[in-house]
Amino acid sequence: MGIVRNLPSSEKRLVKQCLRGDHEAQRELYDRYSSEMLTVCRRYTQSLEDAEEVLSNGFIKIFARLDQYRGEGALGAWVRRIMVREALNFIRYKKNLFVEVEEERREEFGHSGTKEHYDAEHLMRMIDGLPTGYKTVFNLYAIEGYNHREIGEMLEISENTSKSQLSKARRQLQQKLNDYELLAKDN
Amino acid sequence: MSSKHPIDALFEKELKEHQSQPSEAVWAKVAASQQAARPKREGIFLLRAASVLLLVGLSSFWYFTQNAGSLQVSTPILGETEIVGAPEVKPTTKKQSNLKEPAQNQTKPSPKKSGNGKTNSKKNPKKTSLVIPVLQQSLSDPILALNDLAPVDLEDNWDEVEVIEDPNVLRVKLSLPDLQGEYNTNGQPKKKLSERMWAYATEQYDRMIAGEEFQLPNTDDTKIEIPLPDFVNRRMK
Repeated sequence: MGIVRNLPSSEKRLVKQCLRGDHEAQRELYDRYSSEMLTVCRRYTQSLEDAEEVLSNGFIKIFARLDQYRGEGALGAWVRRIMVREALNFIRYKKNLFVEVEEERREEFGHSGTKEHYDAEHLMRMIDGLPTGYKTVFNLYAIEGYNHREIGEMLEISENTSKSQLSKARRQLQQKLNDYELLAKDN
Repeated sequence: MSSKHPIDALFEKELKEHQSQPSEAVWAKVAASQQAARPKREGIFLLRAASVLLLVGLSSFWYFTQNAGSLQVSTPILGETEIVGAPEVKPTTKKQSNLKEPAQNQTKPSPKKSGNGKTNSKKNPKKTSLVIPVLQQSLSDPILALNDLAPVDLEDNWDEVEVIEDPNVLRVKLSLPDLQGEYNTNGQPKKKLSERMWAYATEQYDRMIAGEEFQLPNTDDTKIEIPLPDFVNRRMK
C-alpha cells in the first residue's frame, strides 16, 4: 500500500490491519499511544475526565481518518496532531479559550532560577493553574513546538496575541516555580 | 538561532514524554464506536462490489449483443481464421476425451429449461452434438483459442446449461479435457500460446479449467465467444 510505504514495518502492518477494521490492531494502536496522548489532552483541559473525553473522541477520529494518513511522518506525530486539534476543539466548545485575565504585574522572571529537576505532576499542576488561553498557547509553543503564526491560525488569533499570551504564561509559571522552590526550601 | 527559553525547556523536558494510563472506559467508548462504524464500512464495500459487478455485467451484455450478429463463422476453418490453442497449463481436471471433428451444419444448442431454469446438457442439446470451446476476440486482431484445435463433444463435456435472461447467452459449466496445444495464425507458425495468453489464462481460463461457471454466448455457431481483456490485445501487437 503506497500510503504507508515510508513507515517502519511494524507500524505499516498496524496501519494496514486497522484499515481492514481489525479490532485487535486497533487496540494495539490505542495501547501504543493512549498513555502519552492522555497527558497531551490533560495539559489542555481542566480535569482528567475532560482529558479522557478528548482522548476517546481523538481516537475515534484517528480510526476514521487513518486512510488519510500518508505515511509522510511518524505515526505518533500524526496521532499527536489530531489529538491536539481535538483538545482545541474541546476547549473551544467549552467556550473558555480566551478569557482575559486581569493580573497584577509581577516581577520579571529570572532565566537561571529553575531547578534541574521537577516532578512532572507538580509541573502539570502549575500548567493547570494557568488561564486557559495562556495554557493553550504555552502548550502549543513550548511543548508541541508550533510557532506563533501556526498558533495564530489554529486558535484564530493574531501572532501578537499569541506572543502576549505566551509571555504572560511564562511569567505566571516562573512565579509558581519560585513559590515551589521556596516551599521546598522551607521544608 | 535563539536557544529555547528555560521555562519552555523545563516544561517540555518534563512533560512532553510524560504518560499516564487512561481508564478502561476510554477504550470501551472507542471500541463501541468502531463496532458501530463496521456495518457502514461493510455496506459501502458491498455497494462498491455490486456496482463493479453491474458494470461488468452490462459491458459483457453490450459486448455480446454487439458481436453476436457479426459472428459469421459457423465452423472454424483453421487455415482462414486466427486460431490459438489453450494456454500451457496443466489442469488437474478430466482427461481429454470425445474429441471429434467439427460437425457441418450444426444447429444452435437448444437447451430445455427445467423448472428452476436449468437444464442438464447431457439430456439437453439434442441437435447440437459438438461444440468447440473457443475463445474468440472478434476485434481487429481476432483470436480463437481452441481446445487442442479440436472440437469437444458438447453432450459429454458440458455439465450444465442454463438459459438466462439474455436469449443469446447460455451460462455453462464446462468440464474440459486436457488443455494442450499450439496455435496458428493463418497457417503460419507463431509464438507459444503462453506468451500471448498468459494474462487470460490466469483468470478466465483458470476458472474454466476449475469447472467454474461463467457466461458464454449462445449463438448458432459452434464457437463460444469470450471477450479477452484489452491488455491481452495490447500485448499481442
